[in-house]
Amino acid sequence: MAMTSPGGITDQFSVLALARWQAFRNSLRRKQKQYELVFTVMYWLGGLGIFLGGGALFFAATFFLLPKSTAMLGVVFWILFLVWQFVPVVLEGQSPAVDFREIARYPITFKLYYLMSLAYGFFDPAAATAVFWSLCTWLAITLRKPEWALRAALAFALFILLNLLMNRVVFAWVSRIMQTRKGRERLVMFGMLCAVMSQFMVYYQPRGGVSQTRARMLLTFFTNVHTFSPAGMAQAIISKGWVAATTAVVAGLAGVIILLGVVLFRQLWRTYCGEIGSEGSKRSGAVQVQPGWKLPGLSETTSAVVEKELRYMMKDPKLVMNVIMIWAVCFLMTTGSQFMKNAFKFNLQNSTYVLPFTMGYSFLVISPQVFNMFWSDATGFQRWLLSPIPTRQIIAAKNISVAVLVAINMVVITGIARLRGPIQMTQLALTLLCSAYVGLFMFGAGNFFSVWFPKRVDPTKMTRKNVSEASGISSMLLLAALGGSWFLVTVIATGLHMPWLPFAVAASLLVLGAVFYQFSLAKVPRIAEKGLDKLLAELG
Amino acid sequence: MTLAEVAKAFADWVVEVNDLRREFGQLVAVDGLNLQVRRAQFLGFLGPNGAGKSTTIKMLTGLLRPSGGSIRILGMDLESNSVEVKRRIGVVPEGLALFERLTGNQLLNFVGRMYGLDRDTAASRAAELLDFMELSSAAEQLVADYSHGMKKKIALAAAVIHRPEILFLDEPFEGVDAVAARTLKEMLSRFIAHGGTIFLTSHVLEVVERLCSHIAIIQNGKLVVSGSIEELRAGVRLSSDSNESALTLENIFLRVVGVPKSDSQELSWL
Repeated sequence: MAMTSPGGITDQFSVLALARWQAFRNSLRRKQKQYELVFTVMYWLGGLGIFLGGGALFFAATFFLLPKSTAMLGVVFWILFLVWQFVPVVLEGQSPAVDFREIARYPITFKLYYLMSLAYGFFDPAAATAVFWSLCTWLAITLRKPEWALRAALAFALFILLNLLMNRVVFAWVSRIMQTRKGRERLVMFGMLCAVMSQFMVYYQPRGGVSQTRARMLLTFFTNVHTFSPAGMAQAIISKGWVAATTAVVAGLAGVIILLGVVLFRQLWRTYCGEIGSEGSKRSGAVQVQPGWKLPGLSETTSAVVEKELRYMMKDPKLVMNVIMIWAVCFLMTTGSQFMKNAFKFNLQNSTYVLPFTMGYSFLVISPQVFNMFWSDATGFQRWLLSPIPTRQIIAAKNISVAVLVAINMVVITGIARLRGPIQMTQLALTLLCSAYVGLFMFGAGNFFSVWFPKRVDPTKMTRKNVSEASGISSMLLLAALGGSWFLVTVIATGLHMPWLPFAVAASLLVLGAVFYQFSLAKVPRIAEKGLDKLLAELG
Repeated sequence: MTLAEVAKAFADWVVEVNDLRREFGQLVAVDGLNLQVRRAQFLGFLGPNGAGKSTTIKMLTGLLRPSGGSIRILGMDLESNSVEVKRRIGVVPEGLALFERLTGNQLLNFVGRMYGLDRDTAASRAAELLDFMELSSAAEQLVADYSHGMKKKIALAAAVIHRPEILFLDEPFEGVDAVAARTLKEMLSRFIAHGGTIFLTSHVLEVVERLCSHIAIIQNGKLVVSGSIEELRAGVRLSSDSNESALTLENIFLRVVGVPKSDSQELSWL
């Protein structure tokens, strides 16, 4: 019997690249994907701008600042480190998705498997960008200080290898966690928490500023962290010359690299041997089925759909974190922050801006639910089509459930704002009126986009693409237009001392919004019915 | 046959398909299909891969619009009475169509209420079904965490919770172990015993032979043969010199659709 021989690394990558290319080409058979391609090209052009522009910036900054201070090298290394380690997590959804558990099934040796995993790390846009920027920086160092060229090459080589290994170790660890649903959800929660915390740091400034002693302590702490960090060690290799200390640093960096290599070896070996994470099952006692919710004013079936939607929302870690973030931002704006006041001379500690701002934020957060309403139903989407509920009723029920979320946000935000002091009733009424018309326009437009550009999304994946590119850009434009009109009317009314004007405009827009929303409820079910094949192909 | 008998036969037809067609671009998936199913019949709808079984079942359940022809379910035209038809049928589609981020308990409750059951009835039937399907211990687990067999069981439970008159099942036994299959078969037998009608596609011919009273075989989108298993056996016996004992459904099926080329072809390298 003739035996197949495992191909070399070039063959394996050719096969992977070909499969990727064929999948992409086949996806373009669908009209919707062709439209999507236009938006994707825009997205990648933006990325290319960052790639090349960043390279030029790194070159110029190093070329002009290096003679003045070598400390800038530390900053460069830190930026490269952060870009390489954190951007891939954020852009996870856009990167080529290769499951290394799947690759382990093919007849390849472990050595090749290990090398493929490492090489795959370079396929990431962030990694490629960081390497390109490193090259630009190295070039600038070489031109400015030729005597440092060799040491800089060594520093960059070690730094790149360390980043590559660290990235692969982190991703191997993350993919191990991602094997179970609970793990995925916890990871998404953690990611969102980190994002929230980082944004709070911008808002929060201690009253009275930071004391000198505390500032000195912080500086010492960060200097120590930098010295022993990969960025600090790489900087030391370049700037300290060929002395014993540098040799020690090189040895230290090499030691970390070897350690990461061994950790990655262990992780990949377990995957290569076929380790599979399992959700397991928790056995419980006799079944106790509670009747579903009966929501006031809604029929039995609409109540059931709204209940299902709200349960889904409560199990969506990204949405939960985003909603908590709205409340937290509202809290910070109304209590401790001096940031906005100092920066924009806005007194945010009253309801004038807090309510509209946080409600606008609230609409931003719910836009994926509105512009891609079937996003998380997965194969359950077919259930809507099989059920005896008219499509119009399903769409309306989905809109109602998002409206319930907006209403809850409104109540909580008002409650938080009230903690600080009294709320002007006119402001509250105007915010309610404006929220109503913005909501109606959003729901109306969202209903159309949900069937024109549907996109199936796994809520447990840490991707920001919860809607199609087309829906994403359109929803942003619509929100900007609606938010802008809101702001403009308020400013004009204040300037002309016509307090009734915003109410009149908002009431008119509310009527228009209601007409548009009704139009969408009448039209969208027919569009869905005509494009049933397309919807099923994308969602079902 | 007297006029009264003919009228009764028409009245008994719960599925009537006339000249049904479905095209996907150049491909004709279903090509002028004619088929009738009587009340309380257990029909096995068979065919080789790509014959048009799933496309037909999708059209019969309203998941796909036909390119031509007509479908009458329970005496009603499907296109003009789709909501009423959907209310009276139950479906286990190819992809199971489950909302996997609900618990088993929540899913059954929800589906029951979608079909118009009140909250208490939906809850009590959900409890009974979970018990019958041996899913009580997993009632509070998310459906996403269920095994494949458990998902098939909960999908069947969701299809029957509103007590439909006809069940459309697309490959309900695919990838199901013997224990889960026994539960599913028991449920289907009870359904038929209580006057229900089942339209089932399956590749597991032994199960079809044991469960189904009637068979329809489709090939290249066209109905090739239909009737009771005995009628099919008799037909095959007449057309060839087969001995009676060897006429299993598998043999009948292979005789009808033809032995594939691969049986006589060799692979030089294997």
